[in-house]
Amino acid sequence: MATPASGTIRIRGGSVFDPASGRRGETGDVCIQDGRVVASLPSGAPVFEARGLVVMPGGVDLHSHIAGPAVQSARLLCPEAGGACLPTLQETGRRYVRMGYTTVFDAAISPIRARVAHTELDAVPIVDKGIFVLMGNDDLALRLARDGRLDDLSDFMGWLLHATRGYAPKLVNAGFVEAWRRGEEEEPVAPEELLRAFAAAGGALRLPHPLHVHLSGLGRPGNAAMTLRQMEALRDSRAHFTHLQFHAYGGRTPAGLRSRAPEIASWLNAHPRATADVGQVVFGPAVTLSADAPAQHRLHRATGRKWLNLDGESGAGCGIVPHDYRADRLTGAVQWATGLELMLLCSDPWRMFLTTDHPNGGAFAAYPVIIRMLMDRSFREAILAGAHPRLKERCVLAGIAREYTLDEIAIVTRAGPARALGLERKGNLGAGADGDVAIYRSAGDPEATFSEAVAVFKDGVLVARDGEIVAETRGRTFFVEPPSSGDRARAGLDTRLRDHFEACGAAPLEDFVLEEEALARPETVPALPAAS
Amino acid sequence: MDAALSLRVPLCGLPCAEMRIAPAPSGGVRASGGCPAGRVAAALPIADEAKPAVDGRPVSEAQAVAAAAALLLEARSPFVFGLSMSSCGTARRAAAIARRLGGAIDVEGAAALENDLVALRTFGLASATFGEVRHRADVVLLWRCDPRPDHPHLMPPRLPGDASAERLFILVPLAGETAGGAHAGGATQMLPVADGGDLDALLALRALAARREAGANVSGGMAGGGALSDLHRAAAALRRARYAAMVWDAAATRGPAGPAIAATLALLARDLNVQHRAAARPLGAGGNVAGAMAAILSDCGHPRAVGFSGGSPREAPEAFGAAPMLDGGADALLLIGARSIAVSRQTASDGHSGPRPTHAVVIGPRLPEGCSDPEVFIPTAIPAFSEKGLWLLADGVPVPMRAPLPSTRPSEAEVFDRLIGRVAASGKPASPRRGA
Repeated sequence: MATPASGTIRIRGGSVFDPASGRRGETGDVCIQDGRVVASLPSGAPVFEARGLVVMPGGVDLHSHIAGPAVQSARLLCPEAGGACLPTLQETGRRYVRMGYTTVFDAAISPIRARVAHTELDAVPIVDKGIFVLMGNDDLALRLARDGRLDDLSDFMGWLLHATRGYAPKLVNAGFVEAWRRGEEEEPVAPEELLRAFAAAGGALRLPHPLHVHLSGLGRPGNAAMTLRQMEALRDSRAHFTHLQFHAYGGRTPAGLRSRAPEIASWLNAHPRATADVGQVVFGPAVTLSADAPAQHRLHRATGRKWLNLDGESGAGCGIVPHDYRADRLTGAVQWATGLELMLLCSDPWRMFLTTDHPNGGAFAAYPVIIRMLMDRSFREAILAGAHPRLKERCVLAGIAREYTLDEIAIVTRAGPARALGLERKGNLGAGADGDVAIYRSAGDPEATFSEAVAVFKDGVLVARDGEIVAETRGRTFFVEPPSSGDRARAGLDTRLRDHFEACGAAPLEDFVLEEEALARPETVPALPAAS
Repeated sequence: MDAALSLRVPLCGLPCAEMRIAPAPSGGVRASGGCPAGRVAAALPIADEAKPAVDGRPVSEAQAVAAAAALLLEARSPFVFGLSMSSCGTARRAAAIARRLGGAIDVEGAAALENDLVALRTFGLASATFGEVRHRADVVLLWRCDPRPDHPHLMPPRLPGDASAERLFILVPLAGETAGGAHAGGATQMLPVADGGDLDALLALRALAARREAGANVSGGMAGGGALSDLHRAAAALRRARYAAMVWDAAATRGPAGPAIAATLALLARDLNVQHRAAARPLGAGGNVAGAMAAILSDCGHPRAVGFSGGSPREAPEAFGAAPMLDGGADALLLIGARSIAVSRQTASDGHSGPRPTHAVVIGPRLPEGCSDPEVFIPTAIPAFSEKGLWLLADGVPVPMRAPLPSTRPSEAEVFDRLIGRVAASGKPASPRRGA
């Protein structure tokens, strides 16, 4: 991979969509100097002619699974899925970039495997990246949460992020995965209590991205009630609720599955501190992989498809099951409609983002066709008409007239996720922003437009042109250094950490802690100011 | 090395105890602690005085790299092989050069895991890391293996953190043994199975664990040479387990029945998960075989025996595996971190060695067994000992190798980078990547 170069370029005369600065398609220039957006450039600067084209910040995917043990295991389990669902590391970076995405976060990395996940992510070319670290089923964290020792929990969470060079704490069905491992049905403490404890402890860390929450009940009929209860438990906290489509169902059985997206969207509309992503389903083969191992076991039992499970230390692990989402089957059809309803009924695009929870709902390469569904009512209604005949009884999609504008697409695919991640230099084209720019054709169907950018600049360097990768730079790895990850936390936790990691036979503490030098291009993102 | 050093180098691929190495009077290294596999690997002779050589003549490293590149570029069917004792980073580089050359690549030792892989791809696998097995498994089925004597901390007799919880081991001893590792401590229930009777015994065990009749595999109160009463007892123990683990090594799934044996072990674990928890945990193939396969998998989409000659990477053990390639399928070898090519060639031809490939390039700390006169030899530092890098245990848990020993030689990774640069400068186009 070439050494990253920072470029200088004037992108001239494009129709600029930069929601963060309120630019909604006005013709103008975007100037990049030494990799950063600047207000102006000398007249002799190199020019990229963008007249008649759409100019946006580089796309930001805040929830994807592209590296680490789960993805590797999925590649092993499902060679038949091939490059479509599980592209290689190199191809992953290239595909994102061809679509105009320049930043990607891997959403579920087990602490003990963070070292290998970072190594793999370093091999993903061009895009900037980071990891969310699983900690909602860690035995020590759970004990601290149950006991209400929030300062200690905060220290531990901060230390885990520090040790793994992680970006945000990730909770997956907190408490219940560990209970399942013990062979028990229930975690002794109510999930809402656990969520509140983790949110309070995480809040003290003043992280740029808050708790990233995968709620309980993934994929279960009737889980919307639990979703609403758990979201309500965090109503006063900063939190991001992920792949909400999988948590927005009514009905009691798979045969009775129905969408309850309107209620979930309504809750989100009323709670401005919450952000979410959708986890949209697309019809076709997929590979589901999740740290929600009991949910994956249920899926395996329900479908009879092969199942790979890997229990790992810190309560982290994964379950993997190949799957097919079919329009002619009611379950898949309801899931598809539920996701679109969430996107269309959430009134604030700054708080509901486009994801497929790659590769769970489908590959990230499906983003363009989903964008078309959002922008073109007749297109999605044609799909609705061809889907299972009872789908219309189970959802309200047919009655939703909303069509996303290009400005809204720019929000849900870059500006919004960047803001939710707390990445000030991403998702916008203001002075000082990274020179990550995607340039698209302005006419024609949105699917074609967003499938292949006319040009993509990364840090001001032209990296893709008409679907061809023309330069492979090395992206950054973003991580945080929480304020409590220093000596105080270390001194207080050292003995327990040593016991925790070494007694379970996992690794010496020294091997577990990832030194910054292990990352190819590290960049610390500072904690939020104390007043935030 | 002037003084003794303690270091953690799990060359066995398992979580291993610390090893202590010290200068030997002969000039080599004497190892203690760790495990036998680690000590053997650590004590291998290292030709400190070895210099880069082309056709046996000393040359500069740059000349050796140039000669290696020329030789590989001229080859019709180059084959990159080894990596079992190299870092993940080196494996990634090896995949890159195989792609660039349009050749093939395989990992030494990976063939032994092929049957496990076939079973996994067919049925999946409910598995766990070694740490989780150690931490949770109250009943452990040791199928034709017993890692306890060499790795006592891997599965101690009692569950960590609960002195009252004694672990039960069900031991199927190696063929020809009756006692197995009973001396390793802990409650051990013996389950002798006849040599060659593994599949029948396992099928019966799986049926009994699911409360079904052992059925057609039973004859005269025996299944696969295992007494039905023993199988009943083992099945009952597995059913009662809160967390059962099935552990086996690569030898247990070797041979024509291997895929079925691996599949039955995996399905036994899957069945047990209906009521309680269970995990199937193969012990792997040692060294950094898991890390090398993972690196190739993430780079090519396939874990082993990958050929690039047709454009997109293609996994085909029968064409690109070590056996066929070393047995005449390749006309040039690039051996990196390989311990031996003799074993693989014998495996290829059931003892009949085919024609030796015309050319060989060796990059690594020493010459592999069976390749004493390569055209090009570029000696390197010793991965894990004097070359840092990331390795994976057989369960995928990463281990940073700290490389405490000094070395005046370049690392494998550095040599590879230079070789890749040289090959790339030739203008030979890289093979397209999968999905590209």
